[in-house]
Amino acid sequence: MRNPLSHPIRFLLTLLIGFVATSARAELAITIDKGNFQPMPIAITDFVGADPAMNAQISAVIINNLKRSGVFQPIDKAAFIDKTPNFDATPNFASWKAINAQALVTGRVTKDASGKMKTEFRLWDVLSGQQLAGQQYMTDPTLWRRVSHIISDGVYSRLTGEKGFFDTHIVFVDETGPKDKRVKRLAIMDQDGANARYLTKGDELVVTPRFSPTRQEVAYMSFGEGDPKVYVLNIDTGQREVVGNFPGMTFSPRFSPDGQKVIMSLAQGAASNIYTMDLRSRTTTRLTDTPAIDTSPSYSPDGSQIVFESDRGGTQQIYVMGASGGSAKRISFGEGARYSTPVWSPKGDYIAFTRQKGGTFAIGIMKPDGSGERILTEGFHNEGPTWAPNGRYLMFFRDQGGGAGAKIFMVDVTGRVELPVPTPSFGSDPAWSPILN
Amino acid sequence: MKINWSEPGIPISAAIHVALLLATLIAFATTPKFEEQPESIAVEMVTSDQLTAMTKGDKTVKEIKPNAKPKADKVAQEELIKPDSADAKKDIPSPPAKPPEQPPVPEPKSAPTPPPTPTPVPPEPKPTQPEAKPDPAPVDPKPDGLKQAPPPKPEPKPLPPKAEPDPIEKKLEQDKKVQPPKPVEAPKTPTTAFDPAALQKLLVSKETPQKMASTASETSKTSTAGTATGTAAKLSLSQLDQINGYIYKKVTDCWKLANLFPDPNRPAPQIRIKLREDGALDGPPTVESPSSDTSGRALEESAIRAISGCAAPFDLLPKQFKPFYGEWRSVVLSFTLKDA
Repeated sequence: MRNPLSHPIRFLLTLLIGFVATSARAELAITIDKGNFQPMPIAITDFVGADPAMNAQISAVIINNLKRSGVFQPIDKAAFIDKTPNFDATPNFASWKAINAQALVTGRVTKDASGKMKTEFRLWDVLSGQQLAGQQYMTDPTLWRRVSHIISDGVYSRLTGEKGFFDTHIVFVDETGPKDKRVKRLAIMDQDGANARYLTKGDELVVTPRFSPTRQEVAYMSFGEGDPKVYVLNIDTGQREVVGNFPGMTFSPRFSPDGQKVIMSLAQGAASNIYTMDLRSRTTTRLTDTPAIDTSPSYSPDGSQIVFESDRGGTQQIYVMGASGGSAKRISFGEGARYSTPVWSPKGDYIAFTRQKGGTFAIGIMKPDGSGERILTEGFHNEGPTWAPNGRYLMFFRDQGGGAGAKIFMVDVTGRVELPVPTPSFGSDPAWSPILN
Repeated sequence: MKINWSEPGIPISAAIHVALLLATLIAFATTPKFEEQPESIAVEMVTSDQLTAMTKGDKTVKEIKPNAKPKADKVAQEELIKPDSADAKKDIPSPPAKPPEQPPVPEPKSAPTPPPTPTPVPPEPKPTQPEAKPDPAPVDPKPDGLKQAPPPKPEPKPLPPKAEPDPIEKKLEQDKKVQPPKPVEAPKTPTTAFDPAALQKLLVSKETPQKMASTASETSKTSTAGTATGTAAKLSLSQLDQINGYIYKKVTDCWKLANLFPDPNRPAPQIRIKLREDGALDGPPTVESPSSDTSGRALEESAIRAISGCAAPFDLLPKQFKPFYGEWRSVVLSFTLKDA
């Protein structure tokens, strides 16, 4: 080597060139891993049209829905600079930015010659000035409330990326009368508490109604003459029938995801086991065979697994087994806790449950493998979770003690949004319908 | 030699010396050898401040020269080393010659990533799709003391999609046509395909190796704050932390995620923003590989709303870090939703 310096110099130069090259390409990379759980400010204008009362009530239902979701913060109409923007023109976004609206809903209601009502809406992104959604619906004017729910779903799903849940019904047990002589009737209402009406007369005690995922049918348990039985009631026709002809008490029914089967418990002496009945062929299948109490079965959304509660290990815990029965795996392990009423989310990502521990009842969720247990609400008595069809909200009933009756509440899967669901009187055992078609 | 025992000092001394010598030889015969020590290398510690000082440009300068020459303190001498003829014939591996047509830096010009599509997606087609098929009001089976009579059975029929385009759509379309976003031309990447023939030529070459001059051919006449590619002003680590922290705080304060539900399987969208020298956005934020599903899109839109609707402009950057514009002119933000 002639020049001993040549190599170090070359090395240094290469290093320097590499350094310059990287710094030229470098750009800041920042990870944003938290934000605010503030609801999104949204402006919902009164719809325009010939009937001011209708215009206002449609926007009122949408505002109420979006607010109840916990996701949006509808801006007070009094703050609007542009009170009634022209539906056919691009809004003046500056006036909406000025009141910090991030999204804007405008709408119009018109009637055609035959008396049909046409409802149109547009959802705007105030910041980008783009129309995010626009739809119109032709209906009978009496269905204005459903149209409002459908529009709410359109806005919700476009801005959250999740499916909507506003155009749904709730079946629940309406409770009236003095505490020792409660009259319990099945009732149905919109998810926001409107349009409540009764489905049964109140001469029989009814509990645990469950919606069919595919039809306007409800399965429930009724204490009539003889043993309590599981019935299926058609909401549209009012017809009801006993599910299966079992020689004992059947209880805790639930539909399979395809709506073809009802899964439930049959009591035989001190034991209860899980059975299914095919609603078409009427064939019954036994899925568990233990001397314990196996109950509250619920299918996974793909129908391949069943979650249920059992005291086979000494205390009530949650187990998962295949849809055709066989060995079950325990997934709940909370210390000193008893778990009941497991329900598989329609999204498949969580199982909701009631947890009893230290004298309090909590509603919680866990992943199907039992991990990630999270308590959403806890108190004197909370029970019976039911999933919204989008798998992001739960309803349950709460008895706050002190002799008062139960009321229905709604909570989201993060536990941040919790609010009461209005019912005509006391209410329990809510069951959320699928999205109506 | 006869030992004079009357004076025993000398023989005793000699005997002891011999014994000592022998003992020493035996004792140290089994001593393990010292292991060979690796040659020590002198290392000079350079702190980040010193590195910054070494690499930074001139802070006082007003403008950034696009074609600033690298600063050199000395003019290079004509030839530092004369190649002697014998050495020149030797096979000295020469650094690969640059392809002549290749521009000096492959990705210059601060060309922002070309937008995926030149025209923004037009608003969703209005033709109101009759997905809403409000079905007849539920018929009440047993009207026993019910709250509300069911409405008469209507026949709601969804309106077939309108044929003519929506007037607003039209207008929006026109607006888009009037001001089409200027597509930034993608920088042409030089073709540097592997050429085995060139390599072979290089290997057998007898040519003089290229000299790597350590000094420029002339000294730079003007001081510079660095070129747009950022060869001069460099941020110290603490300054970089300040900038990152400032942008992080502004964006997290603005990000409203109540309308988002955690999904651990959803990848974090990456939003690229370009900043002007005054800290304002240079064009709308762009989504790297936009999501096709609705929840991913909602997440991206919420991120963009947080940036352009609230966090921007980033005023502090031009105030405190103006010389380092090259460092913060392009930022990529990843938005992750932890399982809340």
